[in-house]
Parts: sequence; structure tokens; C-alpha cells
Amino acid sequence: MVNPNMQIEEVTLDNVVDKIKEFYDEREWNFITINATDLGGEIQIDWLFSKYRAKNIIKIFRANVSYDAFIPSIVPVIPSAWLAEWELADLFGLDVENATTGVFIAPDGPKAPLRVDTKL
Amino acid sequence: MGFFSKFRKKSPWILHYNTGGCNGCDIEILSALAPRYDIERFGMLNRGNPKQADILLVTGPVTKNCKDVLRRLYLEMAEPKVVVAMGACAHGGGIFRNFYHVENGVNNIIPVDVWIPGCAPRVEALIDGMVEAIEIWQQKSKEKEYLRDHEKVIKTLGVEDDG
Amino acid sequence: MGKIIVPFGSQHIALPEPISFLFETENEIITKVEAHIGYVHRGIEKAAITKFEYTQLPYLTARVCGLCSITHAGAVVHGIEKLMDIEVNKRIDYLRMLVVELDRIHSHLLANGHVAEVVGYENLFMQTFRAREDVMDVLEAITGNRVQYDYQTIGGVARDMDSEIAEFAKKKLKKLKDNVLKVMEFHDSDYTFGLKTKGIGVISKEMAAKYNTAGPVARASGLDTDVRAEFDYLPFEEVGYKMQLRSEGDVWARNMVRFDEILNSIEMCENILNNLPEGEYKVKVKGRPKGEVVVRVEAPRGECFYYLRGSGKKVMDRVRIRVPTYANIPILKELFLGAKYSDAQAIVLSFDPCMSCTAR
Repeated sequence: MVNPNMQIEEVTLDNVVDKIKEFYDEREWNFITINATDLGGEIQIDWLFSKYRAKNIIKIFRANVSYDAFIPSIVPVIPSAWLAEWELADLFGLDVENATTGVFIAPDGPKAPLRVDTKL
Repeated sequence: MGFFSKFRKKSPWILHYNTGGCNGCDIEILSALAPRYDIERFGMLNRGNPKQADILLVTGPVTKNCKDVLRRLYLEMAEPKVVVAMGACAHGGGIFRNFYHVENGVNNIIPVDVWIPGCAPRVEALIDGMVEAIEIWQQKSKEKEYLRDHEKVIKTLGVEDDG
Repeated sequence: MGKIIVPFGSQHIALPEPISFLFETENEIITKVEAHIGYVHRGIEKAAITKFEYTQLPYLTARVCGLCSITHAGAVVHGIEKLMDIEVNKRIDYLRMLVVELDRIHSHLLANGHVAEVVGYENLFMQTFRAREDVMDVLEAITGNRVQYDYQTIGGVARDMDSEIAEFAKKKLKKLKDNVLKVMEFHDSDYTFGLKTKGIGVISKEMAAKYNTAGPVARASGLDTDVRAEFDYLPFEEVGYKMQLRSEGDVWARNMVRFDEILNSIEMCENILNNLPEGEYKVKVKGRPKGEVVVRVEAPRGECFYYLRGSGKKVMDRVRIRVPTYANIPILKELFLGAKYSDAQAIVLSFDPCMSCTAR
């Protein structure tokens, strides 16, 4: 496998929606998903895009946030992003705009299972 | 054996429910319905209605979201009924044992009569298990055995008997 | 007219796995949908970073989904090999490609058979499944199992293939091709089948791009996206890969795209079997995965995405799985609005939904 060309752009939670709005063209870029990684103490959130009709080009908007940060929603720009955002709220216990919990976790299930300090 | 039981043993209807397995067993069940293995030789049909089914075929480790559905399907089926658990993860969770959202196997929720081991079990093993299930079903309908363990079963299911 | 709420799932005869929809209908027309997709959530992502070592990850992720187990295991293997700087030889690449394409054939045939069943063609379902048994035989001969293969391992494949199996596979593929063409011709020409599938659940190209659909659903609408062309993980172009596109975007087109891909995959498999390079089927593996990598592979249903992160320990730091059905759920929900309730089953199954992938 060749090395994918990952273009990583650091953003903050205040400007991420504007940055994505400016960058995103639905005919050129495919929104892959929103990924969160618990680094221990803070959470790294990636908004991932790949380019249509091109080889190995992946664009990543990356923000490091604290556990209680308020994550703005990008659904007005990308209507299919709601599922990924709701997953953040469910599995990481983050405060995401307009998110509903309980998509994956049952009412008697654990809260925020994917955090490092949640021992299961 | 009543008049209708005679015919029922020739056509046991299956109710299939996946409780969160990987899908591998379910596609083998579909293969079993298809011409190569043709489970209809034994009169078995896959029907989606619990009230008309005789055999409950369960796959998967039973996730927290699925357990109430499974319990309800079991309770809705008419006696006598036989439960067949298929696949390694139905046997105590398999690879998914002790995951945070898994209930470790079918018999933590409902009583199981036949186990079909393997990941995924071959279709021949599935047919073998189903044939055994018919025998158990016949036995149960003859002896009315299903009433013997009634209280224990009700206790594992965690439901109140309003008698 | 009053509104009637119709539940669909989680246990339903048309669904092999649990997903539930609550349709609010008015005169048979669906006006509101509520979906619950989390029935199969087991917590695999957590287990991958706590309970399992990186060498065991391909076995764990194969159990995410039984239909595309080979793509999940493959994605993890490609990612970890990247993190550990392992180069595999051409024979391994070709053997992996062969199994991936055979898996695609069996998955697509299953999906098409299933659509045929829910639109009322029990016989067509049986014929499709009869054809499918040939490819299952080939997979069993190559990998040793019918469903869970565990074929790809870090640094190679689990077992080699000899010329006897190659001959057997070629014979079976030839027979399969004839059978597929027969079933495909029926799809193409049958009038009643067309009434049930043509013009049902139409996705336009603009809509497909707007909602970021993946796989055959996108290609049936004319959106030219395929990870096999967009991401270099196996040399698909060498063995005759061509992107298959249709423009109608309805249930029928999604079935036909899958048939086109089956024929293309058969051709690729034959090319692989005829030009299998010599070499070892395993290479030496050293070190531990360190760093981060994204992997995209084309599962039968579309783009499967993995994000892997390791820090030189036995256990990975993060394994993120995003599967094609996950990308297609938003548009599926939109598509129901305004559709007839009687078409709902065909629309769901034409997406070939895989819930055990989606909820993980």
C-alpha cells in the first residue's frame, strides 16, 4: 500500500464550520466521517474528506478539544453528517450541537465507553 | 399427541432472529433455504411470525439492545417451542465475550434446547441441529415437558406470571 | 385520513439482521420515518484498544461483519503493514485481490437474490442462490471456510494456492458466469419485475453527491466513486478493473450495477488465476505498529474506512471503523419520505444494508 497523501489542517472549534464551509464542494470532495481519538486528557477530533477522481488524497481538519467542549454541528453544510455527530455524543460523551444520545448505547449501557479512563 | 401435532412435526416453521452477531450465520441460514441444501425437505419454512413458529433460531451474542426483543419473541411463541442457538457467539459470547454491550450468550436470556457450534457453522451442521430440534419438539409435545420447568423458566426470563 | 404508524423490524422476515423503522403513513404514503440502527452495537472499537493485541485484530475485525469479513480484515492488515513498514510481494497481493473479488461476487449475488425475494420473485431468489453456491465452493477451496475466512494475516495470507485449486476455480467461475448472465437477462427483460423495481427509490446524481453515498448505490446514480480507483492498496488496474456506472438511480439500477460488477469481478478473478506470480505466501514481520494511518478499501457495499493509531505497544491506541452502510443511512432515511409503504422493503434491501457493520 502506498502512503496516502494526508493534508492535515489544524482548526479550532470556533472556526471549523466556516473553514469546512469554505473548503467543501460536494462535487469534488467526499465527506468520509468525523473521527475522535482520546489522547488521554484531551480528545482529538478529525473531520475527514477524500477527493473524487483523484488518487490517495485525503484532507483532514483536526482540532484538539477538552472533554467538556461544545462541538458545533456541520449538518447545515453537510446534511449526512448527523450520524457521525450523534456517534460522538454517544460513544465519547461529548456535547454536540443538536445531537441525540441513545443511537448505539442502550439505556442500561455504559456512558462514554470509548474514553480511555472508562474501564470496562 | 393431538390431531394437529401429527402434521406440525412434518412442517416445523422457523423464526429467525439475529441478536447482534456478525451476519455470517444468517447468510448460511439463507443458503440453507436455497436449492443446494434445501431445508424445505424437512418441511421447514422461514416465517417471520412468532405466533406461528415452532422453532426459534437465534444467532449472535445478544446485545443489550436486542435482549428485550429476544425475550418478547420467545414469550410470544406458542408452546411447545424449541430454541436453537447457532454459532460460537451464541454460546456464551464467543469472541464478543465480556464486551461492554453484550449479554454473553443466548441462555442468559432464554432457555436453549439445541446448540450448533462453529464460526460460522457449516450448513450441514445447521440442518443436523434443526433435525434434532424436531425430535425435541416431538418429545416436548408428547410429554408436555415444557410445563415441568415452567417456574424456573419464568424466573430466568424475569417476567411476572399473572396466573 | 388519519395517520397510521407501521413498525418495520427489528424482527422482520425480509431482514436478516435487526434494524427497525417506524413509518408514519398517510394513505400508504410514508410521511415520517424514525430509524433505530443500534441493535447490533457490541463495542468492538473499545475491545480493539483494550482486549486484543494488534496481531489478533484481523480476527476481531473480521467478526464485525460476516459478509465482508475479508475487507475488514484486509483493511486492518493493510494499515498495520503500513505502520510497520512491511512490503509484501506480488503473489500475496494477487491472492488477496482474488479473495476480495470472490467475496464481492458472493455478497452481490446475495443482495440481488434478496431484492428479488422481497419484490415477490421467490424463484428468482432460489436461482440466484443456486448460482452463488459455485463461488462459495471456490472460496471454500481457497480459504478453507465458507463464511469467516481469516485469510489475510499481517505479512501475507493464511495458506497458499496450488494449480489444482486454480483449475477448479476457473471451471467454477465459467459456470458461474453463464448462470449470472441468465439471471441478469431476466432482470433486464422481465416486464413485471420492472414494474416493481424501475422508478422506485430514485436517487439523482446531485442527491448522491450531496449525501455522500458510497458504493453501488452511488454508482447506480452515476456518481463515479470507487475506492479501488481512488486509493492504492492493491493493484486492481493490472487485472482489468473497470468502474461500472448506471444513471437511473432506482432499485433496478442498483441491482444491475451489482451484476455489472459481478461480471467485472469474474473477469478479474480469471485474469488473476491465469497470471498468478510466483513467490512466497508469507513475508517476515518485525517491529510494532507506530504512528497513524488512514485506510480506505472497497467493501462490496462501498467505501470502508479505517483509522489506525499505534504507539509502539502491543495494543493499538485507536481503531476507527466507518463502513459503507453508515454512509448510506442518511440518504436511506430521506428516500422513504414520499415513497409507498409497499416499496419500503425493496428500497431497504436494494441498499444491501449491513447493520452489524454500521453499529459495530
